[in-house]
Amino acid sequence: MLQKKICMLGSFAVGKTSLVARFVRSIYSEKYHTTVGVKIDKKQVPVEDKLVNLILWDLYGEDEFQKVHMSYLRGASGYLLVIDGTRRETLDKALVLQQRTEEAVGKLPFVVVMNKVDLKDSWEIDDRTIEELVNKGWQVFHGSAKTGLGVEDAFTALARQLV
Amino acid sequence: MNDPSVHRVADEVSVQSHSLNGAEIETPPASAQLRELQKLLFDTDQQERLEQLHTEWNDPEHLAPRVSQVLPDAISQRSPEDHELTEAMTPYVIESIKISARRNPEHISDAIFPILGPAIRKAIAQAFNNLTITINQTLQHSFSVRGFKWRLEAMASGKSFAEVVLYHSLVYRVEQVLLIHRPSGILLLHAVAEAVKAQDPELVSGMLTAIQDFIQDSFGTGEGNTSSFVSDELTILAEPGPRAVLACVVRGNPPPELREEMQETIERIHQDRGEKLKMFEGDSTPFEVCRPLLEEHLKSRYQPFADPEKQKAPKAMLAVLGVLLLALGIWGFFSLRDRWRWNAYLEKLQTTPGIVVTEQDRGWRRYSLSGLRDSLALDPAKLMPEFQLNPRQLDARWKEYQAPELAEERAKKLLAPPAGVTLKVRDGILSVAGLASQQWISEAKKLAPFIPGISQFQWNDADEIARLRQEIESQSVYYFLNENKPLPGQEETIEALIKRLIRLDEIAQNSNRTITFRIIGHTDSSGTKEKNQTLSRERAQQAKSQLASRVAQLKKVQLVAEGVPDQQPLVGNQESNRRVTFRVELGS
Amino acid sequence: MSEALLTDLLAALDVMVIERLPDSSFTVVGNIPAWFTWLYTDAAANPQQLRLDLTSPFLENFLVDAEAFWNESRPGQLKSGSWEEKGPSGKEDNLEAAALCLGDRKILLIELLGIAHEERRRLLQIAREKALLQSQLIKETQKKEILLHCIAHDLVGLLMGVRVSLSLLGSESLSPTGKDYLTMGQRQYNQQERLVNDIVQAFSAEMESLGTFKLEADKVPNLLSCTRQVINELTAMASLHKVNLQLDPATDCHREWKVVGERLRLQRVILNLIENALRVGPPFSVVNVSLHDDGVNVILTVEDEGAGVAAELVGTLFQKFAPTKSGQYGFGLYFCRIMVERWGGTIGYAPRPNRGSRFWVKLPKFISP
Repeated sequence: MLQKKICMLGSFAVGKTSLVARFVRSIYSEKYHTTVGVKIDKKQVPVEDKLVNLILWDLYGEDEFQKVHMSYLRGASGYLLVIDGTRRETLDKALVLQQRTEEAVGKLPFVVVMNKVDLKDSWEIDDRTIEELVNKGWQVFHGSAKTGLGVEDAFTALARQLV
Repeated sequence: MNDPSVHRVADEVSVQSHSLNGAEIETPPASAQLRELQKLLFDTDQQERLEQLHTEWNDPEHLAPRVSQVLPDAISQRSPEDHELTEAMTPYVIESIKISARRNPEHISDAIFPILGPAIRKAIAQAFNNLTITINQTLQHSFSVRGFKWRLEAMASGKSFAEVVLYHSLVYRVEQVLLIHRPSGILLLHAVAEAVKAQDPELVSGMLTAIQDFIQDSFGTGEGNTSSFVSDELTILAEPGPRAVLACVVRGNPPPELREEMQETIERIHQDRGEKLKMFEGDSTPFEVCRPLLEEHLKSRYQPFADPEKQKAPKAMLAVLGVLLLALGIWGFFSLRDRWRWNAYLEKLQTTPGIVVTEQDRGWRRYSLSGLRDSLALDPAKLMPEFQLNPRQLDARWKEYQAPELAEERAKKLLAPPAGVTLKVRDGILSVAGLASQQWISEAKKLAPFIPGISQFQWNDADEIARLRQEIESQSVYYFLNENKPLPGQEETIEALIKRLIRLDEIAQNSNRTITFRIIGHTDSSGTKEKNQTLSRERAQQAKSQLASRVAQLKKVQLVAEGVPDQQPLVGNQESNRRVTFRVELGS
Repeated sequence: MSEALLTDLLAALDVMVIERLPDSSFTVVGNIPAWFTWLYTDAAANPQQLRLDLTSPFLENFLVDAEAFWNESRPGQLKSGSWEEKGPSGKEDNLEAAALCLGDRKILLIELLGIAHEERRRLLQIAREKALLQSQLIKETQKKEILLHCIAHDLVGLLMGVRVSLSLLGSESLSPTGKDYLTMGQRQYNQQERLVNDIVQAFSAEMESLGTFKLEADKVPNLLSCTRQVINELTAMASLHKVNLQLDPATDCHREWKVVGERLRLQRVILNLIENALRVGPPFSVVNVSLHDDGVNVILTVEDEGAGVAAELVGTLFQKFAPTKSGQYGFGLYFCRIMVERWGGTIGYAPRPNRGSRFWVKLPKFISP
C-alpha cells in the first residue's frame, strides 16, 4: 500500500492539530491546546482504486519560542500549509515557511488551507490576497476544523497529487 | 479740572441768577452821601457814569462779566449760612447735566469715572466674599473624591499622581497683561510672565496681534462692556476704561478677584495718566511708569491642598489609638495563641479520616487525647508540628478500629489495581474505571465486599466505552467503484475494528447491557438512486459478514447492517464516499 | 559505578538505554521499561534484536540523523525533540530520544517525559494564549484608537465652531435678554467642553494631546526612518502582490528628515498610503515612495501605477465614510488627513499623467529651537 508522509505547517494556533483531529477522528474541541512536540497520525484515503495511507506529521506551530526543525520534513511527500484567516500575520508566516520548506526539501506538492472559515466575518485576509495565492498556482481551500467544511477536500486533494 | 462742560454749566448758572446782584451794593455814610449827591447832580461826569451804570444794570451783556467776577465769592459766602442756594440751584444743575450727558456722554463719563468705580467695586466685593466662602467649602468636601478621580486618571495616563494633581490644581496663571489705547487700538504697555517669555516668544507675539484685534472689535466702536474671550486653555479678560483697555491673558480659570484688581488698575491708570491718554499721539513712553501696576497682575495660583493644621489633630489621635490597639493585640495574641493552636489541631484531627477523638484536655504544657484510630490513618503526633505544638507534650491513647472513610485506601492495598485503573469509594460503593483485564475485574468483584467500608462493586465503563466508540466511529472501509468489494490493504483497519468489537462485548457483559454495532454502507453520487440503495446495503452486508466471520460469538453486541446512499457527506473526493462506516449505540 | 547500577538509575528516571551494534541492530541495555512495552508492544517483543522500525515513524526519521551523528563520532548528544505517542489507554505520552557516543559505543536514549515536559507545555500554552490575546488586543486598540480619534476630532471641531459663534454673538449688540441667553449658552458650552475633555482624557493618555499637540524635541520623528520601517514591514505583502515597492533611489539618505509629528502615528499614516498603493497596483508595477524638501516643508509622495481614483470620488477622498469603490480607500484616509492637519501639514491626491495615483503628505520641517 502507498504510504505518504504529509506535514502540517503553519504559525501557532492556526488549527493544524484541530484539522488533523477533524480529518482523522471527526472530532473538534473549541479549546486551544498547543502542540509542543510532534504528533503522528494515520489515515487511509482512497484515491481511485487505491488506498493511500497518509502519515500525518502534525508539527508544532512555529513562533519565537519554537522553531521547526527542517529534519522533520525528511521523506515528506507533501504538506498542508495552514493559515488562520482571522490573523493576517499567519499568512506572512506561511509564506516564509513555504519558502524555507522549498529550500530544505525541494519542491513538494502542497495545499493551502485557509482555516477558520466559520469566522469569515472577522477575517483579516481579503479575497484579493487569496486570489494572489491562487494566481501563484497554489491550491487554496477554505476550511473549518470546527464545522468540518473543506477539511476532507483539502486532504484528499493533496493525496490525489501524491498518487 | 480743565473741562469745557464745567464752564458751560457755570455760564448757564450766571445767566439765570443776575437778579441777585442788587443785594450786594454797599450803602455809604450820610454826609458823604450829600457830597456825593451834589457831585452827582452837578457833575456831568458823574451823570455819565450813572447812566453807564444804569445801562450796565439793564443790559445783561455788560452785567454778566461783572457778576461773574464776584459770583464764586458770593456763592461761597452764602452756602455756609443756609441750604436755600443749593436747593434753588439743584434742579438747574440736574437739568444741565442731563443736557450735557445727552449731548456728549464721553465728558460726563470722563468726569465721574474715577469716583464711580471704587463705589461699585466695594459693593460687589462684599457679595463675592460670601460666594467665595461657599465655593471653598464645597471644594474642600469634594477634595477626597476628586483626589481619587485624579489617581485613576494618573493610572490611566501613566503620569505620576503628582503631575496630575499639579495640572488640575493650577487654578490660573496670568501670563500676559496688556494696556491698549482704546480709540486707536495701539499697544501702550505689555508685560509678560517670565515663564511664558521663555517658553515661546513667537506665540506671545502672535497672541498679541489676536488680542489687539479682539479688543479693537469689541471696544473700538465705543460700545462694549467688560468682556472675555476663551481660546485654547487660555482666557482673555478685557477691562475697558474710557480711553484704554486692560487685558489679561490667563491660563486656567481666572478668579473673580482678578477682575476687580483689573478694574482697580485701569481706574488708577486713568486717574494718573488721564491727560496723557487723552493727548496720546503714538508715543507710549509716558505709560512706562504704569508697568509695575501691570506686572502686579502677573501671578499664578495653585489650588491649596488639604489643610495641614486640620489633619494634625486626628493624626496624633490615630497614633495614640494605634499604639493602644497594638499593645492590646500583642497581649491578646500571646494569651490566646496556645488555645488557638490546640483548637485548630483538634479541628484538624476531627476532619482527618480514620481518627475519632473522644476525650481531650489541655493543661499547663501538657496535652492529652484519647479515641479511635485506623492503622491506615495519619499519626496524630506527626500533625502537631504543623500547628506549632510539641509532640512530646502529647499524651495519647488510641483504640484500633477500621474507619469507613479509609475504605478507598484499603481497597487500593488489597486489590492492587493495574496502572491506568482508578478506584473511588462513595457511600460504600467501590467504582472502578480505566483499562483492566477481564480477569482482574472478576477477581476484584469477588474480593470487594469483604473490604470493611465497601458493600458494593461497580465497574465504571463509561470512559472506555466513549473512547472505543470514538475510535470505531472514525474508521472507514473503502470499496471499489460499483462493487461491494473492499479495496485491498485495509486489513489493519479490520483488525483494529475486531479488537475493539471484542472489547465492547466484554464491557457489555460486565455491565450487563446490550450494544448495537451499526454497519452503514455509503455510495458515491454517481449511478441511480436505486442502484446506490442496493449497493450501499450490499457493502454494509459485506463488512458485517467479514467482521462476524472473525468474532465467533458476540454475547451482548448486536451487528446491524444498513445502507444510506443519500446521507453521506458529499466531499470533493468521490472515492471517499464508497465506504462503510460504523456507529456504536448503547442499549440499557 | 557498575553498568547495572547505571542502567537501573536511568530506568528509574524513565530513560531507556539502547545500544546500536556494529551490525546495525539495536539491543536494550538492562531491562525494557514497562512504558516502552506498553507503548510499543510489538517492538519490545525481542529486547536483543529491538525492532525500532516497528516503533514510530518519528523515531525512524530521527535514526537517520542519529546514524550520521554516530558515524562522525561527534561530541555531546543529538536530541530529537519531543514527540507524542498515544498508548492503548488513550492517554498521551511524550517521548524524546537522544543519540550519543560513549567511546566507540553508539548509544540511543529514549526518555519518557514526565512532569517537566507537561510544565513546559503549559508554559508554552500560556505564552501562546497570551501572544494571541496580545495581538488581538493590539488590533482592537488600534481600531478603537482610530475611531476614538475621529470621534474626538469631530466633537472638538464642532465645539470650536460653537465657541467661535458664541464669541461672535457676544460682539453683537444684544438686548439684555439676549445677553442672558448668550451667557447661558456660554455656560452650556463650557460644561460641554469640560465633559468632552474629561471623556477624551479618560479614554487615553495620548488623547490629551488632541487639542494641543506639543512636539517634544527628543521625540521628533525622522520621516525617512519612519518610511523605511513601513517599507520593511510591507515587503512581504508587496512581493505577494508582485509589486515592486521602493524608496526612490534619488532620495538623499544622508541627511536628517525631521518633521513635526508623532512617530507612531506618522508611521500609520505612511502605512495607510503605501498599503492602498500596493492594493491597487497591478502585478509587476512599481510603487515609488519619495521624499522632497521645499525649504519649509518635507513632502512624502507615494505613487502607484493603478487605475487611479475615479473622478467622482476625488472630492470626498479624505472625508470620513467616503464612498469607496470596492473598498479601495476607506476610513484610513480620513484618519491620515486629521493626523496630518493636526501637525500643521496637508495631504492631497493628484492623478499621475499617464496612469496611477500620487498621494502626498506635506509636513512642516522641524526646526530645533
